[in-house]
Amino acid sequence: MSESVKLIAPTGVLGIGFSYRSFQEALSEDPDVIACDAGSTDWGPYHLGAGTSWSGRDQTMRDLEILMKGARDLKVPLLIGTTGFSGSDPGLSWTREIALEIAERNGLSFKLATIRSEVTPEWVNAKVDGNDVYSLDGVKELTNETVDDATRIVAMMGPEPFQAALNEGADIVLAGRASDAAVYASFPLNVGVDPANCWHMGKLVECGNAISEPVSAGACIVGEVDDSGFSVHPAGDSARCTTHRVAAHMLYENSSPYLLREPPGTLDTTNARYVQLDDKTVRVSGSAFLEEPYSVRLEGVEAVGFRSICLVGLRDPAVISQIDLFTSEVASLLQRSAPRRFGVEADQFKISFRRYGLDAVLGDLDPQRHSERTYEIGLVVEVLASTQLVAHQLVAASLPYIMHGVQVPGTQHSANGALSYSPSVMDLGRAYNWTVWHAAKLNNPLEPFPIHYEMVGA
Amino acid sequence: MTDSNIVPEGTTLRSVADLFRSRNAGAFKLTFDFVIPDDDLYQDIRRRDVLNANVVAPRLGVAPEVVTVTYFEPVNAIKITIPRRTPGGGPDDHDVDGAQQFVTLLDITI
Repeated sequence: MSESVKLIAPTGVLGIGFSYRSFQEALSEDPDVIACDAGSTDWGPYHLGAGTSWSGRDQTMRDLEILMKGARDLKVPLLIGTTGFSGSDPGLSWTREIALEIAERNGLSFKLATIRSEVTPEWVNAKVDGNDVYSLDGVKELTNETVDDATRIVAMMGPEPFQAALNEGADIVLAGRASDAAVYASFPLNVGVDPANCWHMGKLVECGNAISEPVSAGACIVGEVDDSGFSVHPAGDSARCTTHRVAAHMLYENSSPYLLREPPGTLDTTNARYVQLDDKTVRVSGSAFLEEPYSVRLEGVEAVGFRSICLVGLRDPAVISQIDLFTSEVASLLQRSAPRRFGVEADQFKISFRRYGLDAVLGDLDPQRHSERTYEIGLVVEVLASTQLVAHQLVAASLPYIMHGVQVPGTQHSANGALSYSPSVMDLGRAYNWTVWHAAKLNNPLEPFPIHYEMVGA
Repeated sequence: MTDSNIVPEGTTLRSVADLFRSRNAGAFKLTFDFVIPDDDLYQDIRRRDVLNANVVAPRLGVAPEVVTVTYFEPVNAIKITIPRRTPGGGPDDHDVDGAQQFVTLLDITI
């Protein structure tokens, strides 16, 4: 008789919220494990660079507290991956602090495992020099120089570090950067359930209620997996999983719905079947898992400067109809005055504009960027510079040019736009860009993922 | 491309799809999904290869060679994936998770 594992996937990202009631219903179904993904690269490189979460501390604490209390009540493991939104070391520490505060407040005691995923330039360079790194998604070859210039690099762990922690008796596991699906697949893999089903279930439940409808119910997903397949349903009565929503989720944020690479190999869903078992449960079977040389994705970012912006509302038709001329005049005035006033050369800063209402979203691809049809433009003036102070001062200096200094024909000395806020100049902090997006072969699945254990509580 | 004998000439993708979206598939790729609920029309579009690389590439600002088109039959979906012109959320990016980039494909006539 094959092992069967029941798992709760409470939400797609820790901190985004979920229905408390649905979670209690899920607990009453007697799960073996609770798992949750806590991050993503989808909202840009900033979080990895800065080491901070997109969410506020209370948001994350609300979700984590409910999960921890539930897990400790039932004495089942709780696994969290990609803590702090990017899996950075500061993000992991931040989450650990929140967990300790929750433990103290609720009198919880448990064995905690924390698994780091940041890798040093030395480690990455050794992999590069040993020809153990290869590019993903058409990114150019990784060089030692790029590695050295990176602000922070993480390696995306597979299920094995979670498994190691579980086998050491960890009750709660907080991990740095981890494959989304691996967080959910790790427990059933650890008890020997067929890998294809573990991975396919992991891929489907990692966005939580996205596979149920209505999504607004915030339902927690319960997955049950064994060697013959797996089923998913939302806990409680507020939502249902349908074959359409479940199957369609294979499309979401994947280059291919059929072949999905994970650290130990590739999940192949070509022959998967999606069957409606009852009005809210879907059963999936038929996938395969192909083992391949073990490799993990390295994700790294480089700081590229500091940004400040100002948002100016343009409504005067004369300004709008001459927007290109207007912004190039502003840029030109700023470019000419900056060296003299601030001692910055023209190549030490970059001014750019976004014209919301015209072509900010689709840029040169927009078939409708005709300013004759636009009556309002949200003009963002942006400066990227080597320090926050320079960026701020240049945006501040641009404002008199924007408002009065550029004389647009037909405007009769009126101010050219509406300042949106007081303060008018907003400092955005450091800007980052993705520079490392490469696979690295590992000597073993735990190689760059140190696990630390501690007893929390009495 | 041959005309459909199921829908009138000039019918747009937008008018026959009940799901259309774009998102990042990682920081360096953009993936587009369209679901055509009508089974006959889906098969018709697939057979005539309407949403091929040469049609979508110029609307997405990339070369046809880098476009992949995949058909996902379980939900009548057409998936298009391209490399991002700039990394997601980087200093030159205005659509951090790529959520609005599908718009230039909506008025493709099928």
